[in-house]
Amino acid sequence: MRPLLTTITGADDMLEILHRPLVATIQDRGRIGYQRFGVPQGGAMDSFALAEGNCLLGSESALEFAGAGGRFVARQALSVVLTGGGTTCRVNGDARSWRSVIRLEIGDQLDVAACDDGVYGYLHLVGGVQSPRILASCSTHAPSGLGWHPQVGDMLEPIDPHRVPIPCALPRPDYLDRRCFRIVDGPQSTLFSEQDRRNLVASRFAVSARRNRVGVGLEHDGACFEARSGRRLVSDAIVPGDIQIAADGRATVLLADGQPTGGYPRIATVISADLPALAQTPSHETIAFERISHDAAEAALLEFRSRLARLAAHVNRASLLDHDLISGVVRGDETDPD
Amino acid sequence: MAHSAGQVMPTIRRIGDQALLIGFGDGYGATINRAVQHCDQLVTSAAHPAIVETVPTMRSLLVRFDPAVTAGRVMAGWLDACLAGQDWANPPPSKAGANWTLPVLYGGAHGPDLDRIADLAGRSANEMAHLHAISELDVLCLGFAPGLAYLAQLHTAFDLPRRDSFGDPVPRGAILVANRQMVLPANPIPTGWWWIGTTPVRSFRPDHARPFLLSPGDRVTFRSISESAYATFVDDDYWC
Repeated sequence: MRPLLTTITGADDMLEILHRPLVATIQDRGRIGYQRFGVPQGGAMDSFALAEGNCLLGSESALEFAGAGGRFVARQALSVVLTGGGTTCRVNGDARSWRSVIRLEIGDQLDVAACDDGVYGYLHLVGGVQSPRILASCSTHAPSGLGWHPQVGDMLEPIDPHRVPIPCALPRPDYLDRRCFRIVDGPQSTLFSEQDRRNLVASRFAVSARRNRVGVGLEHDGACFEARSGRRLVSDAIVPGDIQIAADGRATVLLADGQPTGGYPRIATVISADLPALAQTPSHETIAFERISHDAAEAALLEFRSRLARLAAHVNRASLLDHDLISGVVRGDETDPD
Repeated sequence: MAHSAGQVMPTIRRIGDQALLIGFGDGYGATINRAVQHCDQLVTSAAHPAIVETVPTMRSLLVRFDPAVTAGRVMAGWLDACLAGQDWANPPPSKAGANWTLPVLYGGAHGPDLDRIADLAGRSANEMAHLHAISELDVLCLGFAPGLAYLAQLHTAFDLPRRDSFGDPVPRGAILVANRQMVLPANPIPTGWWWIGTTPVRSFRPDHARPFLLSPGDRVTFRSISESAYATFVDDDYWC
């Protein structure tokens, strides 16, 4: 993915946090190779939104926030992009769009409203948000004290302050509307009765407000699921997307910060390609599951990756016109019949 | 809990869309643990280009792969061939592991459950501390929390169920026992296991080039230290 950047200026650009979102972490693509030491994979709950920031700003690591937004002030001129589950933000009171490059001058105040089109929002800076790399990743893992927990008064600094991006935008992606999630059977699916496994795809579930980076709870009206072997097993490997049935019979889909091992039985696994959409599904929404083959799940993953790789083709540069910074470089309307 | 050796035969199953799980039954024990370690060494040393990482657990080995490099169907066949011809009922002892001796301050504020488990076991607190200290334990796996190690197998005196409820969080380095197993957390955690002592040796240093002290397959024994030795203990020797 080639970031759309052009070099103009250099400064110690930074963005001060005035009002911190309630749940704010730094997230990148997560940790690979440390699960054998009990470290969750971590990484952005919505990898699509992370990739959008990468496309627009070359961002490799973003401020991830859940639900509530925040207020920031530019201490130097810099560019930002918001991606993920929100629609509204303002610069000095003027409405600006998500998924578009926003140039902030010194003293400009950025107000990010609460996510109203999903759950997780991402604030990107050029190149990413500077943050210590621990175990080959910037991802914050709160329970073990890994990574940085930005606080009010902290400065977010771009990794690549010497580049000013071309103003451009991406359209709203349709995965945010997905409410039917594809699942595959797992090693423990046969611990559940045929009836339970049929119910899993026949039932409608409500997404619970009992959710965080570890997982999202599901509520449903029917009978509780119960593994035939009992509700507690010798601990075994977990992968993100596993649908775990706890001792009380309730289902939880384990997500980015789910532990690598656990002792509750798992009835199925949500496919990787659908995890960003599940993470973004607002609480109390109704969802369903559709069982597919492992081959189909792999094909869906490759298709998802190729969508990320093709993001740059969807960039809309029309907003160049109203941006004086780079007038004379590209107007953006050369081939436009209007 | 341990299954008889004859039942330890690996099964290869899909888990999610980027991993395969090599299972060694639904129990755990010394033979299964050796099988998991041996399997990890076999698979890792074969160095298939699609393999992203392997994760040993109590009873299985997770093999994470990139389906863009090799399809899961093909990976499963490759693993099957990789595991063939091994005597899984009698896996060789782990070769890769390191040997550690950890100092432990037993009882008192650093092991408040020692007296209670001594009562449950019908032995003295000193005897329980001694039986723990002379144990030679295998690191079965790390899991539940970063750097948290599961070790086995303790003396039969430690064949005790867990507590009925979770207590206040225990500190990193807490020596936790139940069911002839031991847990060593690298960060504070709430737990239902019995807290009988604390080691001043850190088992997780995020800033270190080799951030985790223990790996699956390592062997650990202990030595009892005094309160004053605990207070002044420097663990640099464990981190060179």
